Amino acid sequence: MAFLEVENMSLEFGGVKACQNVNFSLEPGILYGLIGPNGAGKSTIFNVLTGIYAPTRGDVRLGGESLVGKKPFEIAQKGIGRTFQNIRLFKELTVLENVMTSFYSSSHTTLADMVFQTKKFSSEEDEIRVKSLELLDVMGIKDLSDVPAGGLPYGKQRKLEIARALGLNPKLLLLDEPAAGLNPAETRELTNLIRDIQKARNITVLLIEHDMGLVMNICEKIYVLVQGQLVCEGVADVIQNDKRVIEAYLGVD
Amino acid sequence: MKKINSTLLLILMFLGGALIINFVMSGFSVSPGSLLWMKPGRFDGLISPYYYSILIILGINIILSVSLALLNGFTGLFTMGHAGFMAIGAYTSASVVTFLLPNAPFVIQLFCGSLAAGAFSALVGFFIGTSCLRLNGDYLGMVTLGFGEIIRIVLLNIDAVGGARGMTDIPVYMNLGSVFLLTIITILVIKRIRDGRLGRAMLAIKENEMAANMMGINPLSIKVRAFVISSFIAGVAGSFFAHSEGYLSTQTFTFTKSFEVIAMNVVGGLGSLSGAIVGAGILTVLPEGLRKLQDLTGIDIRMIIYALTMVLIMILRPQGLMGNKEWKWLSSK
Amino acid sequence: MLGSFVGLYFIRYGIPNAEPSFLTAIMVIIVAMAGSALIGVIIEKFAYRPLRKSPRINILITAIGVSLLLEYGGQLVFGASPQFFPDILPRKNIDLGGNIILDSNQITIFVISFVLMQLLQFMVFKTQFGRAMRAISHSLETANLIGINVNKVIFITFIIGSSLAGAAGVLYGVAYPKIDPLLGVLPGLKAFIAAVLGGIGNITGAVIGALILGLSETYVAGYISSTYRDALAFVILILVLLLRPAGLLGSKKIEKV
Repeated sequence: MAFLEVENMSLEFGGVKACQNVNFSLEPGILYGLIGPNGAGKSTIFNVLTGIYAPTRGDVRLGGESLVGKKPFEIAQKGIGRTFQNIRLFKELTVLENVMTSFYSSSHTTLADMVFQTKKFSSEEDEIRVKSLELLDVMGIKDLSDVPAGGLPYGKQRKLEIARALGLNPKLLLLDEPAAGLNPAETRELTNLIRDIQKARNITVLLIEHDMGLVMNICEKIYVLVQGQLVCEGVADVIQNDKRVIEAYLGVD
Repeated sequence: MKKINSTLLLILMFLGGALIINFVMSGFSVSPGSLLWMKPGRFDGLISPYYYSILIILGINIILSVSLALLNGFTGLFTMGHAGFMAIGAYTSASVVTFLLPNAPFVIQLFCGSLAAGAFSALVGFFIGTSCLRLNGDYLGMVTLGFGEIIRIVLLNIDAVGGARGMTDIPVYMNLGSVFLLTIITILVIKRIRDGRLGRAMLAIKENEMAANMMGINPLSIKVRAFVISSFIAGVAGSFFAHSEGYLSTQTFTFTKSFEVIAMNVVGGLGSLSGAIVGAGILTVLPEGLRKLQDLTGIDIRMIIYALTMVLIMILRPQGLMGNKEWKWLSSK
Repeated sequence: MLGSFVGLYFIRYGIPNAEPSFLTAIMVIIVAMAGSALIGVIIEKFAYRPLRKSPRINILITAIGVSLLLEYGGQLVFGASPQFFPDILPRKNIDLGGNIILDSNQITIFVISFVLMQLLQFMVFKTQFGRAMRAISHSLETANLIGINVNKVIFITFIIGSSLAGAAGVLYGVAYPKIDPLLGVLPGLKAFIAAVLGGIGNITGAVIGALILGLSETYVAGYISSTYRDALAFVILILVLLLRPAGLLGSKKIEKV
């Protein structure tokens, strides 16, 4: 039984077939890539995996348990973290507070604890704070912890999104175009960072990207999505030479 | 034990402050009638009864304003039915004290009345919340407006609490000291909620509900919780109101009242706890300051002041007077 | 409210000796419409235009503030006590037999409302101007980019909306001869509820919503209890928003993640 299984998944909005019969499974601890032309439905698959859309047909299973019909926060609590294509940070909260929010579901203090500021409350708060700072450190933005998230430069905002998702202690991390809008140097740095995180935590990562350099560099296996259908899967070399992939990106002669 | 002690210590400090206020207000007398728990303070010439009642109203308005701020400024839920919960609290407490405990000592009356008020409001808040909080922005405002009015009309039709004529002869036991104490406690409680993980979750939902959802936060659960807490506090404020006025009329709790509280939040600054307090302060004091003008024209210009201030703030400084900022002692750090 | 008071003052000071007649009525309505339009435009310029790019909540709060300002300001200007709105139309009772007696005023109100609604419908759906209005409601920025003079269109829209409200005010005075500055509060809310019931953005829906609301209110007042009558409007509002937020004829919008 694979770690994440997507079986015959289709998603239709009225007449629009966003996903058609998508089948794939992810093994634990591997870094996967998901590529395809714009509008192919990559983010849509993320949305289905995280519970924003329920598939019209088919199943999605995490560790054997079906995720279909579950709400996004339930799925997040089960260990799937994600970042967004268009950044969705909590702009008015500080960088540190942004990361601390993802620790919400794993905390146990009650309302009474908060109001009376009991020892249980303050020790848990400290613990969350320490862990959040660690994550910020890993992403290299610890020095900005008290800055409102909205004031960060674009590249650091992307890093913060990843740090925040890591706060969930996820088993599966979905990164939606993490390098979008970054210059080559930032992209290189991010590439290494993602690989290091993945190895250090031994988590499964599924990465959507348009930057082929990044993808071919770190992804151990790549899926190609064209118009809602998976047309190819394999390692970098195989993908690069596949006729269908070339057609999808460059068109037919 | 150290942490619990610090909170209790704070409460004791404020209690002391309350006792001192009552002591001073009653003309420096230490008769049993002048302290916190006993009879309402008698103000022998220190300040006029007029100013005394303004201060009590100020306290109540602050409590209302910060309870709405919890909902509106922190969680991003725009509601227009806050007066409804105040009404429930007021009538509940008035009924409980007048019908069930008319001869009990004031401590009991205060405690039971407020608790019943808060609890019943919170209960109603729970039901309204679970049914409505799935709605977004403007629609939520409209629905809560509807509920607020329905609550008022229902209360209007209950003859046991006076119906259209209003309810009279309610025991008056609120004095400045107790109002002061309870206002401070309320502010402290809300500050601590905001500083903890519940507050973070609320702010996250306000900022970006979808992202909060993705981070494992159950939006509906948090929203309902905020709604219930806010309704509880509003209910308690209502009970204070009932027992400082001595009579109740449903006319007090119309949509206009809800709007007054919204105005306090907006004028002070929507995201800010200090702002809610400032807004309440300004909108309580300003109409009174202009009372001379009111006597002159013979018209209730209070609403005009509220509305005008609101519109001006919206046009000239939409983030409110405090914007997002907090005073030193109220900020999270 | 403004419409009815403008109408009232016009009757009282402008044409104090006029006989109730069709002509009188038309004059009063037109003057009331003009007065309301004027105020509407002033409000738009000073209170709404600066907020055009603000979040919806701010606009909502301002609108509520303005409406309260008008109502209580009206108390200041017109006096808080109710005043008598004189007859502007000759009154007749029409007996339809079987205990149904119609008042000629009721028929007039119905007819005038119908005519005005038809005009509005025509304007919004069959004219260039209406198209521009609808374009703006979809996206202000895009409308700007394709050359629509947004300020002018909004200006005229407010003239139309305010003058219709003014006309309604006069009709209100005809139906309920006692008018006071706060008369607009409840009808204003109910108008909104009717629009929500019918589907916001849909004129036919608004009319249907209003009819349903008005009829059910009357039935409740008649058969159940008149004190709960106003509560009905709010109950309907809540039910609609909870069960079918798009309204009877409205359409749903989808948000992209």
